[in-house]
Amino acid sequence: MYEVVIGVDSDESRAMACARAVQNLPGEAVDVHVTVLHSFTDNPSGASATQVQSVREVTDYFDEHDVDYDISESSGAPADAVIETADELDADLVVLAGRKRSPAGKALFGSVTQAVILNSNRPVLVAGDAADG
Amino acid sequence: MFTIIMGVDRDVGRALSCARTVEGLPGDPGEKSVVLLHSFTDNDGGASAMSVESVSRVRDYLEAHDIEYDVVASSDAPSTAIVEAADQRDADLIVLAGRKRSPAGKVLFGSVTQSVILETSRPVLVAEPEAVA
Repeated sequence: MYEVVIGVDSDESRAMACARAVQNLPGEAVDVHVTVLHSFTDNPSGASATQVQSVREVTDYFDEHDVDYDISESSGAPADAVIETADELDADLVVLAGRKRSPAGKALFGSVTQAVILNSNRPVLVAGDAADG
Repeated sequence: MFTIIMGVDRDVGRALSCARTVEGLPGDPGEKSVVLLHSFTDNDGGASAMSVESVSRVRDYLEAHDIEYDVVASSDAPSTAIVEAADQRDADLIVLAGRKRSPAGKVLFGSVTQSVILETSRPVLVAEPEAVA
């Protein structure tokens, strides 16, 4: 089984870019298992990750494409949570949405993605732009 | 066919990290097609990419794993060459070695990888770091 960890924030289009990147990997969907990780940096109401809209869109997409997944949540710094989860699961791949657009449309490098690339020893897939597909 | 642009510089260890990461992707070797791209930033001798050791080591590795490839040389800046080659071939994925170690052992973010991630809208896979000897 090819273990993938995707880190999603609350941005739905960035989360879906990660989901599509996983679905577009070569091989069969049945050979892949995904852990969808959401970090709550601020969660006064004690919400669960399954209530987060970006997480729901990603899991709906995986249901449609027969990709097996679990949902995981953390309350730590997102980069640390992604790295620790990937280590615990001995993940083959970490998938993150790397680019953000400034209000002027300029591509910016996401700080979580940058921190994960520098602090993890695993392959990191920076998903394509949210707009495609 | 899943088309992968792999950008390699002269560093053999980093080039082989890219090759191992591609081999580690799910799917059969026959589903993957690699474009092995080397940019000569200073090529007074008119050398061919085939004569670059990092390129020939990756070729050996891909051949040993039955993964199809082409070798492409460019004299453009590496990030430009990679982004353009990916567009020309409508690549599914760009693979780069993103991490370098400073002489003191600190992990640094490769500037080519950073530029490619910002300039392309395609998925970019940052290869696993080379094993620390």
